[in-house]
Amino acid sequence: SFGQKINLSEKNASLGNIFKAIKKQTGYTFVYTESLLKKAGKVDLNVNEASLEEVLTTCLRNKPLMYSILNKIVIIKDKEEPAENNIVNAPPPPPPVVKISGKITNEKGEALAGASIREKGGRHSAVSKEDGSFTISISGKKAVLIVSYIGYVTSEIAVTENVPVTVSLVQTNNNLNEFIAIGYGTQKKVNLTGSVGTVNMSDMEDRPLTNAGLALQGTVSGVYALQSSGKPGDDGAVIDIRGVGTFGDNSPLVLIDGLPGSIGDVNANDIQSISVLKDAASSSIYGNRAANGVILITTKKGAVGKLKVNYSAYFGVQSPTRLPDVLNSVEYATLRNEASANSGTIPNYTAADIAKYAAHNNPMYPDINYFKVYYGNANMQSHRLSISGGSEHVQYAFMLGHLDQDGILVATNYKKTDFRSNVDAFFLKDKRLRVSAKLAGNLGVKSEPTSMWNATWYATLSPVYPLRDSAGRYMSVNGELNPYAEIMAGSTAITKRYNFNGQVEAEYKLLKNLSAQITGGYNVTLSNYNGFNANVVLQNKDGSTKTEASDLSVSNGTNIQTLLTGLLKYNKTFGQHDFNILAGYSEEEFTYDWQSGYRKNFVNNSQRVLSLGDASTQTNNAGSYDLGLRSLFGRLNYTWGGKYLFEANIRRDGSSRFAKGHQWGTFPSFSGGWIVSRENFMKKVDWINFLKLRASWGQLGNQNISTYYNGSDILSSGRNYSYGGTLYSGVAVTSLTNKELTWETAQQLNIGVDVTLKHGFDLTVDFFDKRTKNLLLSRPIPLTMALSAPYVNAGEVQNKGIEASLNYRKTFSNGLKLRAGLNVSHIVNKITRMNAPEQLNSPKAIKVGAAINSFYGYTMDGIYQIADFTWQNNSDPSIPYVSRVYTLKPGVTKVSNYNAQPGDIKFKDLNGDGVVDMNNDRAIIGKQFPDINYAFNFNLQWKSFDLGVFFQGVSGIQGYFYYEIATPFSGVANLGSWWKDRWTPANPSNTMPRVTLDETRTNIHSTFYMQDAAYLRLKNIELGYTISPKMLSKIGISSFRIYGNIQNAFTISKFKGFDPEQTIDQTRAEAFPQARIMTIGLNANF
Amino acid sequence: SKGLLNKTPKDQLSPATFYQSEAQCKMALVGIYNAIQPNATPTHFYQFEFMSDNGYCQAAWQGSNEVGSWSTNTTSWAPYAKWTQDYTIISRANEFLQDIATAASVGAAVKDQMVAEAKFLRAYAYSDLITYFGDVPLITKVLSLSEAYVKRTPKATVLTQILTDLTDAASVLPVSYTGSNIGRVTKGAALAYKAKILLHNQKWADAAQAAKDVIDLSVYDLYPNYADLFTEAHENNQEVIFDIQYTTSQTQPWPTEAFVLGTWQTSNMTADFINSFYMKNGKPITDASSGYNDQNPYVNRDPRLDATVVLPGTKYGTATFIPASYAEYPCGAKPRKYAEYGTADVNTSTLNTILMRYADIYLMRAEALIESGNTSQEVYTLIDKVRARVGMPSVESVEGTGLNQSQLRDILRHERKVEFGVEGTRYADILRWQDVSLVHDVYGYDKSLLSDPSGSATWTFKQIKIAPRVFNAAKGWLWPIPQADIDINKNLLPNNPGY
Repeated sequence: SFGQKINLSEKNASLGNIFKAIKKQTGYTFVYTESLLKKAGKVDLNVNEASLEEVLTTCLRNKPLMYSILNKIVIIKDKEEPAENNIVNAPPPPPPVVKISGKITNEKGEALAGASIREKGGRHSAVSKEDGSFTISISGKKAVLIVSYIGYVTSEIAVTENVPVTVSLVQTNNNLNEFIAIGYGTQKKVNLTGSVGTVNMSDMEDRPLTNAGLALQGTVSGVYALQSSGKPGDDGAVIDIRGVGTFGDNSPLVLIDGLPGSIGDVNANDIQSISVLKDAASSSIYGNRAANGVILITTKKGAVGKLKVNYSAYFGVQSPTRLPDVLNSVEYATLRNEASANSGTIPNYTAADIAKYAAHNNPMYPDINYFKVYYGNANMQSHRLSISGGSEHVQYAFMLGHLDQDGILVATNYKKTDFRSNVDAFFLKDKRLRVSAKLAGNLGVKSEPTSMWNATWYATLSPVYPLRDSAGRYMSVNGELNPYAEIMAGSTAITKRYNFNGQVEAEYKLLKNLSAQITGGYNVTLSNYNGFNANVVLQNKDGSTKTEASDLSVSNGTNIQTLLTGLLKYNKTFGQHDFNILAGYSEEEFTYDWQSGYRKNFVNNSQRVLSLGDASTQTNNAGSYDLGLRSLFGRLNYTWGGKYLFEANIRRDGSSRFAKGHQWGTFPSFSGGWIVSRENFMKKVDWINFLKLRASWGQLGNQNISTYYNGSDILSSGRNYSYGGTLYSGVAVTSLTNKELTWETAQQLNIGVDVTLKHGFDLTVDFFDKRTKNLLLSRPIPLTMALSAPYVNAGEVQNKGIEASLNYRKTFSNGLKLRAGLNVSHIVNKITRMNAPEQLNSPKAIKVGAAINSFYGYTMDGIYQIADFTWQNNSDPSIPYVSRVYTLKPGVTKVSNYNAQPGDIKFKDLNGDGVVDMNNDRAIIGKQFPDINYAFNFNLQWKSFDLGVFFQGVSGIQGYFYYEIATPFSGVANLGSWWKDRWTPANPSNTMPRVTLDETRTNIHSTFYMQDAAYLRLKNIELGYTISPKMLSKIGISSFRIYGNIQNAFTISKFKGFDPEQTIDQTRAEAFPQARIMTIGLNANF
Repeated sequence: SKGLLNKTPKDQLSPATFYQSEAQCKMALVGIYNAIQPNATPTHFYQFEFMSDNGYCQAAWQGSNEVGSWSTNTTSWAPYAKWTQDYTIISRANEFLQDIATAASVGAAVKDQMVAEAKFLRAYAYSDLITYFGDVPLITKVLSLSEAYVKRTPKATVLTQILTDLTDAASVLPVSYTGSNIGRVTKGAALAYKAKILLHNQKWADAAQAAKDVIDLSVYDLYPNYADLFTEAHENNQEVIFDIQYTTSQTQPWPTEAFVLGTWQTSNMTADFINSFYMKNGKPITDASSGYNDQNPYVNRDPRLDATVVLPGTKYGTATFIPASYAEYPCGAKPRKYAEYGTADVNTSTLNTILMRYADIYLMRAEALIESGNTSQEVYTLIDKVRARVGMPSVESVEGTGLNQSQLRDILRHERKVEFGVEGTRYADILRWQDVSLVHDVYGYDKSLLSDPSGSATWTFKQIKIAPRVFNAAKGWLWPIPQADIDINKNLLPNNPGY
């Protein structure tokens, strides 16, 4: 029956090697597990012109194994009771009692061929065919089938005679035979020695992820991904892998199919897999930009087979997750008058004014919650279409998507259209030459208020400011602005961003074990900004009008990045030894150019083109920058006996950013692994399926600072001045350079363990100690230098932590499938040494022993109470409060900057000298990075329904919240409603101070403005329904699922401001809140 | 590619290869002038006005209120802004003076003049520093980082350097410029600033002489129309000695337009300031024979009052100012001088800010003479010239002759107040005079009585206390060295008393 004849001569060979040889000669693929082969031991084989069956029978003679063949797949499995499809040693089958049929699929409903089906307690077994179908005899009218397939969780299902069953199998988490993307290649997960986390993208498929970076939230232990805001087009995640190890940009290197890029430029739905390279050994091959970790994104590729078409879409509504609760007009006016009284100034509002606010019938005396003016619900929709397929020589995948998202802030919108095309073609004999072309591009159009600052700021406006007059005309706020009116008149900024990237890669097999690969990549991002301020006429309270002239700022930027990589790859296996060697060269070049133009006084508010402005007002400007990186690197992998793993990397990197003589750095790394479960002594430990220990150590370089030309002294241009009405260009030295600056080095030790337990638990635990030395830090210099600070190699930061992930999968006999995962990481960030002076600024400081940019200030120690003071006439209680002249009692701590009064915040006197002052009594009071970062997900699937729940949280983190809303009477802002509990003589609070207008009091940085920013959030909840494929097949649809989803469903947090999930440098209250997104969607395969 | 690791700035210049021509040297010189523009709102002149008894700002968070209420502390914005601005001027001047020395291809005369301008600007910055901070680090060369942790230098030593620089500058600089050089430092500017810093340091005779040297140049005169002096149409007139120049593409940062707005920087003019303007007959309003009517308070007043202040019920632009409409004007009056009411574009202003004008020369010389005990006729003449320009009667005709030093001092100080109102110089005058009586509570009009839009005829003018202002004797007359610099450089400690 098999045409091809096999010639083989092997002595004491492993079955695996024999199967490889057979595969080469016949093209048949083998399916087996390592543990099966272990049972077989070694084989001697000498066959000539033998058929496949003859060879297989010979190989498996006297082994506890058997095989079955299905199309061109050979399935090796445990020898069982004779089954009807059994070919090896097949005795005549017993008469079938009852037959049932069915289909085996994966979670997506795709057919699984070669799955093994066995009756529990029975004698029968079967293997599924290419279309997933099977027929099996069972010993009674009812039976329980056990369905197993490599890489999937074994499932038990109850069946009844004559009722066809569809069994959908769930992939195991820890699919050890899965190939994981690593630097310049892939590695079987089982053989990894470094710490690599992966994201299960199938969980992400239907989440409304407007930015692919959000897929990393809570999915990989040790990765802290924080959504920067709910603003469309700017909602990407800030990603910290294993803590913050640098003062500069801590974002990891993102490689999209090998090309460095922005995670925002790949659509979450196009992603096949995400690997996060966390330790130094894993990421070292990308060393020159890998010190903060590496995220490898592999996009979907075509596969040999029929054309597949997928369409998915969702429609959603967004709303702010939370907005601070603020005062109404009467409360605001009352507190403002109280603050005036406390500060000795006259009240702003008369009793008659307050009555008018209370009456709610005069537009000049309004009661407006400006959050409701500026924020509201917003719609969004997304559509995706993908096509994939291929022949043996060409495989292709094309993806097209469109997102249209309004923002919860007025006038914000983001539209993005993107495409991606991956084509792999194979040429020459034995497909010796592979040429791959990957092209992708997107156009993002972001609209937002021209002044986002004003829009988010005026959203905090006090309720007493009228928005419109009685005629409906917009009012000015204090005779100045009305950002809402401006936005309505067309004061918006439109940013068009065009990204195009492509790479061509050729790999040629020079020899059997040696191949050469060359990759050229090009990434261009053009951005086009058009920011218009409309001509607006506002009404002033005195009846006059305020006209704001229109103006337009435009700018164009071109960001180009080129990449050239050459690799030589060699692998060799002999006996128990397995070598993989990689040598490479790479160079990257970046250029950035921008031009801008400006004019005022436009003809109208709708034609926002520069030429229609007043030519006499025009100005323009430009900038140009470049950067080059060059690297040489090598990697050696060695495996012995499939049990002992070793890897070494070395690389040498150069950066144009540094001055000559300081440009190059050399960075080595080593790692090793031991698969303990493959040792003989582990065979008896049957509750452990797999156990691996890993360790790695390595160093990586970082050169990423905000200046391009650190090695050059610079006379900055643009320091202009005019004489007699004529503008002159001026230059000045404005920064101090440090030509000694060189690479920052991140050194990391990692120890890890991977365990798979028999009953479906997978556990991975890693301990790491990452020390960043020669920290690149902008070192503050005395202000009397009047120059911007130079970068120096300033000290050392340590990130020490432990991270763990635990996954569990189980299919119950009633068909209920459960999948649950938990991951937790604990990281301690600490500055361990400074070569440069500490930076003790409030509210954030850089101090040895504390985390990077920890909060720094006074520690609140309650509130000054009346009992702390004496006053006239021996503290005569009959003197009214307002008339008292308070004097602190001896022994009560004073504040150096002002004379404390009852109701003021009391601070801790750290040095005990009786006076709280800036030089002696400030301390580290909190930090911006969580102690613990955790996530929990839970997926249930039953019949056609599926439910997914995903919680994510952080603890041990503080947020700082001052100025608008938080600080009493900051500018024109309202106050948070918690100020209703302020200290008054009648309400001697020990936590909330009195209100004053005195910034000497209100602007002091202390724990008072710091809050617990821990939160636990139901990040995502999703309920789906899959329509029976039978119904669909008639109309040509192979699968169809509809679902409903809520992102950011609810949050538990004590944080009083906006969303507790805010970027770490956010200390003011104009944050763009996060959005809760409710979507319904569909996903169809054709 | 070969140049991959060999990158040099593409859009910036290298100091090593600069200074090859006169034009390049001038670009570097322009870079110093650039720094005299305000670097933050608290260094804009109008902020200094509401730190003084002339004005008041109701909003707290600008930092000026702290300074105005004498509760300045080490983290207040104003000291930080002034400190960094002055040292930026100094740093750029030092760099320029170092680098131009090697500019071989530039002629000696041109070089000398540019050096003189740089020295003036450095002296200008140091004069400001010692006036506000007392002892400050004296830096006269480009420092390396290891030399940068400077200590404070005694004020007297800094003063010596200032006088050297100004004397050097005055000996080289031209008396005037034309066309597109107008605004550069002149001999007169160097001498005028010399007079000012000498006056601030009680060097009466030298100050009087420096002021006389300016007068003797015979290039300046008072501008006949006082109100026009501060408008764009009359910029660069014969009274201007030194100013900050602005033009279309180099406009005022934080424009003076703030006066027009009623926003957070709101400048209020106090009742105390308004009351200090005499009647046209030269008599104070407190004088029973002055003819002052407190319910029709703005008639027959010194014309400078109307030119300086938008009074309740008066027009600004096309609108009438009704104080009750604005919570932001608790004093019920706002500035007019420098405010460009009716301008189309509120966010840009190209109006120059006058830093030194000829009237100040007369009054500085008069003050120096008075303080040195000279009560001669020249003192009267000097003050009279300033009064005559606005049609106010002479000192002699109102107060008589033969006045003693104390009387003349009062007259002189009063004249400065009404002449220079809103120009931001009052605060420095108070620091110089160290007169505690000038630090007092803020008074304004009771706005609620100024609410009827039908007209001021129905209004009641009642003055009430708006806010407290108490001199803090512990802190005295000096600002603190900003905490931000002390955090970096402990050598600056100890700070000034009280901080």
